[in-house]
This record gives sequence, structure tokens and C-alpha cells, in this order.
Amino acid sequence: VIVWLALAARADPGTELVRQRALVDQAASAVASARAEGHRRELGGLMAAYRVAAAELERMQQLAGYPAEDLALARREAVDSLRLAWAEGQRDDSAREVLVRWLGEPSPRQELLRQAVEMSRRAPDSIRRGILLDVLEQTDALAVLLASDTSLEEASADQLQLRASSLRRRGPGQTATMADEVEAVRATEQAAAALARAGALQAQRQQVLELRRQAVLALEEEG
Amino acid sequence: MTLWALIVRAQAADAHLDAITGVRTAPDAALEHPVEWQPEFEPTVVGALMGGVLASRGKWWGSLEGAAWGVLPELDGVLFSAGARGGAGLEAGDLRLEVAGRYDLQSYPFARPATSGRAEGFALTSLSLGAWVPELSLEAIDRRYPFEPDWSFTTAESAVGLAWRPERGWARVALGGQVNQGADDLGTQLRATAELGWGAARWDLFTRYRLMDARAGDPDDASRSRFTPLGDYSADADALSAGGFVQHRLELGGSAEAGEWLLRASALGRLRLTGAQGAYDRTLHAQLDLERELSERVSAVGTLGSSAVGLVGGKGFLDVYAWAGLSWRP
Repeated sequence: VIVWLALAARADPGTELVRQRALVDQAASAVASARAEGHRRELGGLMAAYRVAAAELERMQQLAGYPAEDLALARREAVDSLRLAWAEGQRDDSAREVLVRWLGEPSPRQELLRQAVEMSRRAPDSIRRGILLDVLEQTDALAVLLASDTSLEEASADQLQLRASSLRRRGPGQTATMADEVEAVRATEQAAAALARAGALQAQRQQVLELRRQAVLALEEEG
Repeated sequence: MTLWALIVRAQAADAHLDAITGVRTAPDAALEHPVEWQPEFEPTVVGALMGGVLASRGKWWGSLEGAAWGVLPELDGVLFSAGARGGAGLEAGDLRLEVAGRYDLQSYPFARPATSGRAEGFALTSLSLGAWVPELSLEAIDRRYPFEPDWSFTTAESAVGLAWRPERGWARVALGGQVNQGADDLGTQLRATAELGWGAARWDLFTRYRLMDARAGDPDDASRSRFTPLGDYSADADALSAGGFVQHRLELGGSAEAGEWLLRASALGRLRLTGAQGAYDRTLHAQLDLERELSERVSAVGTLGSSAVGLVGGKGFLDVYAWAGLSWRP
């Protein structure tokens, strides 16, 4: 954290950019939720809204004068790519890999961010804003990573439940073969385990979003 | 505390209680002998209460199922059934062993000869070599008809297979042999199976082809066909048969999800090349199930299905059924 404090002084992306990132995240979340719940009619409109918000974010980032070829840009692009994949119900392993290399295991990173928010309250004014902006950027990325992993676990559970459903037979005197029945049982168990993992990831994402909210509040108080 | 509640608390993975009602054109299909079948329309009202619970803990799993089927105005199709299943999955490195067993009791109080108890044991050993999985399976079935001992049978089957399971989809081929012991005869079969499966987030589909060469055994006399009626344990239907025929069997199964709707479809067709009069020549069974969530615990369910049979000699049979009801998941 101390090293981080020392390195935290950085270019200020501005409050509007922070808000726009949150808007894009909300738009992606709305698309992913509609997709998960099977509301296909709403998908087109929500996806269009997401693309508008994402395009605006990209425009604002360019106006903010971010360097074109550096690690930070690669990370931001990975966040955008993974968020898009999440909204589209797809996976993007290369973008995920970039974020995993950056953030490491979610739980230790979440604890580090929590400590950073705490310490920023006691930090000198000159670097407090830099710390909070860095926390915002990392919580954004971590929330997208956790949302994507949650979505993949839920998709895996759906697929396993459908597999079990395909194998089962119901009717007067009907039954599946023993081999099919065993496979259906295993698929049902694996689906339940995937849903449990998705629930844990979702809870962790909520905690990360709460950290993000605290950082935004601190920034706003600072004016 | 009821047994139900105990099982649900022991990490139930799935449980349901269904109440349905509907119609069926020929409910005696599962009871009458093929030579007695008449291609006439026999509309019948059916109602059923079905329940089941599946629970698992660690490597072990178990389930209980029960159903009561009421039929009017003919009562012969009234059926009470109960079943228990259990199994375990054991792992040692890349080696996996699945063992499972089940017992099903079917009681026809108004058609007592059809009452039976059926026990089945199953073991599958597999070795995971990346996406390739060689397998060895053993299966044994013993079905007893207490009021008609001559209908009882025992069968055992062993097969070696090779499955390919990439990240998505799967394929499998297997070769096996089976021995069937009826009351008076002994039959053997050679079997070859090929399967393909594919799935995505919203659908799953598989197809399975099986070729059976029944080399030994006596001709089917059709007085009580060893070809168990459709929809009634297809594995028995394939196992118990007379000799001297080749059978092609094709099965399709799939599920799809769209919003609150879940669709499940299955089809099973058989073409048996045999010259014995009165024996099964071809059969087709198809069923479509629809389920729609009404709340977190309650769903509406509906089923449409048919069973069609053609016998050597030209006789045929068609049973069409449809029912709807509610399913509750605790």
C-alpha cells in the first residue's frame, strides 16, 4: 500500500469519465441480466444502449489524452473487451488473462483496495485523489472480471441443467437407462456447484462495487 | 420429521411433486399382448401424482421416486410405482469409477399379471486422457413378474467404449455383448453404439444409434412378447427378445430454454429385421414436454406424446397421449 501511495500521483481522468465508466458498466449489466433471464425482445435495445455508452466512453478516454501504446491502455482495452463479451454472453479469454495478470486473485486485491480507501483518508491531499482514482480504475476492472466469471458459471450451470433434462424421461413406466441416469445426476450436482460458485462471485462483486461507491463518495467530498 | 424433509435437508439437488391430468387413446398398450391389440380409438382420461427427490453428499447420491396413475373408464392401466436409486463416484487420479443401483416396483392392481419388480446394477470405469476417455461398463437387470413368473428375465451386458469430450460437445463409440436369460430360453446379442452430443447456453441435443445383432435365442412366439411395450423401459425392450434378428435403434434427445419456458423432446425409433409373425417390426416413440415457470417453486407442465408399433404381418398400433398439470419444487 505504501508503494502504491508513492506511485499514486497520476493524470486525473476527470469526474465525467468516472461516471461514464459506471454508466457503461450498468449498461453491460442490464444486457447480461436480460440475456441470463431470456428476455430476448429487450436485448436489441439494451445492447444498442450499451454500444452508445461504450462508444462515448472511448471518445472521452481519447479526449482525456491517454497514451496510445502503454500498459494502462492495454488494461483499459481488456476491461472494455471483457465487458463487451459479458454483455454478449460470450467469453474473452485473452482479455480475462490481461486482467488476471494485472489484478491477481480477486480476494487479496479486494482487501488491498479496501486498505487503500482507508489509508486515502489519512493521505496528504496531493496524492489522495490519485489513490482514489486508481482504486476506481481497479474496482471497475475487478467488477467486470467478477461479473464475467459469474456469467460463465451461470452459463455452465444452465448448460448442465439442460444436459440433465435431455437425459431424463418422465411418463407412465418410463425411465432413462442407468448410464443416462448417472450422467444426469452428475450434471445436476455440477450445475448446483456452478450456481454456488456464481453466487459467491456475485457477492464478492457487490463488495467491490461498494468499495467503488466509497471511492466515488470520497472523490465527490473532495470536490 | 418426514423422510422427505430429511432428504431435502441432506443437500437435495433436485426435488419435485407433479399433479397432472390428460387423455390417452390406448392406455392398455403397456399391458396387452401384441396379438390382442386392435387399432381402435379408446379415449381415456388419465391423472397422476408423481414425486421425486434427489440428494447427494460428497461422492454419494440417492433418490426416491413414486407415482400413482389413475385411468378412467378402463381401470387396467391404473399404476402405482415406487423406486429407489443410489450410487457413488470414486476417483483415483485420472481413473473414475461410478457404481449405481436402482429398484423399481410397478403395481397394476387391476391387471395383476403386469405387476413387476425390477432391479438394476451398473458400474462404469473411465480413464481421463485429456479429451479422450476410454470406458468399461457392466450392467445387470433382473425383472420379476410375481403373478406371471414366465415373463421374468435376467440380463447382463458389458461394453468397452471410447468417448471424446472436448470443451464443447462429445462423441462416443462402444462395442458390447449381452446375455439374456428368459424363463425358457437364453439369448445373446452383439451391440455397437455411436453417440453424438452438442450443447450451448440455451440448448442441448444428442443422438444415439445402436445396432444389435441377436445371434442366438428362440423365435418370439408373441404370446407375451419379450419386446417390452413402448415407453416401458426401452433397455428391457432391447434386451429381451428372441434371436435371429438385426435391430437398428435411433434415439434423439434434447432440451431448450427460452425465457421462462423449458422444452424437452425425445424420440426413439426401432427397425427390427425379423421374419417371425406377430413380432415387432418397427416402433416409434416420441414425446414433447413443456415447462413454464409460474413462480420460484411452481411450474406449469405439459406433455404430448405418441407410441406407434408395426408388427410383422401388418397389424399396427398407435397410442397418443397428452396431459398438463403443475409441478412444485420445494
